[in-house]
Amino acid sequence: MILPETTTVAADEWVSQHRYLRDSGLRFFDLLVAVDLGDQVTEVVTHVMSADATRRAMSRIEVRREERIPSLVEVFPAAAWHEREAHDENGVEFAGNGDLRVLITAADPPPLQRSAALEPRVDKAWPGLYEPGAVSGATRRRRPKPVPGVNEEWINGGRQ
Amino acid sequence: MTAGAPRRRRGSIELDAAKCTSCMICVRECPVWCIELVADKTHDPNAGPRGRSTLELTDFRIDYGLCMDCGICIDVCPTDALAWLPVSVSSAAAASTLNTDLV
Repeated sequence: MILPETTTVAADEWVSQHRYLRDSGLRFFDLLVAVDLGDQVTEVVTHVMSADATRRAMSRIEVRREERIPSLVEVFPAAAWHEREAHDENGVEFAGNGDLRVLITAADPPPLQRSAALEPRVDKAWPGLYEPGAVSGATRRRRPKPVPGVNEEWINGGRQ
Repeated sequence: MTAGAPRRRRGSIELDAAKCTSCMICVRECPVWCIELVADKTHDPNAGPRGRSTLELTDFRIDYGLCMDCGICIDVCPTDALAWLPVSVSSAAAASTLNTDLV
């Protein structure tokens, strides 16, 4: 499947953009997903298409952690479930969705936020901390280069 | 080796300890933190004007209970000491017994 081009939408045009798409024939609300981009920013992407799947459109919006984005429920009732899921897993707040009950998990922080540490990452010290040939107990001369996906606070197994 | 298995099959990971320089790149890049490496440093004061330190790999463990066969360690290894071995890891009754020493 060739994905359509993605339009970046501002928060105040989020609902009107989807209303426009729906009224121009893209009546099937396929999905809404959220991805934590880091730096407190979450990306929300929707995909809508026509009933015969010949026309599609993707829209994206960036939302900061303390902000809310307007809910699409009034345009696409099917969005309610996806917004509830994004709220559950990524902590995105949707203004106007009255049913953001817990779907799977009520973890804090939400599990798909990058700040959420998996249990083994807190219990276990990062194996990359070891310096080959170093005398045990001696202070390290240099700190190992941080690697993407290894948060600073996990490096000593949560103990700094 | 299983007869007829593709040569690049992701079975398990093979270490050529003679090529390994204990640089720790694989350990630090592993997304699931499943590699553990221990190396001893020996110093020969008679080699050269200031002596020479060499690292000797004593332990190289991959926990196959955690490994997800992504192959990043093999890709990042600067000396090609790691490679795919088309032999699967045998099943085990407990995940803890899958922590395998490759040296």
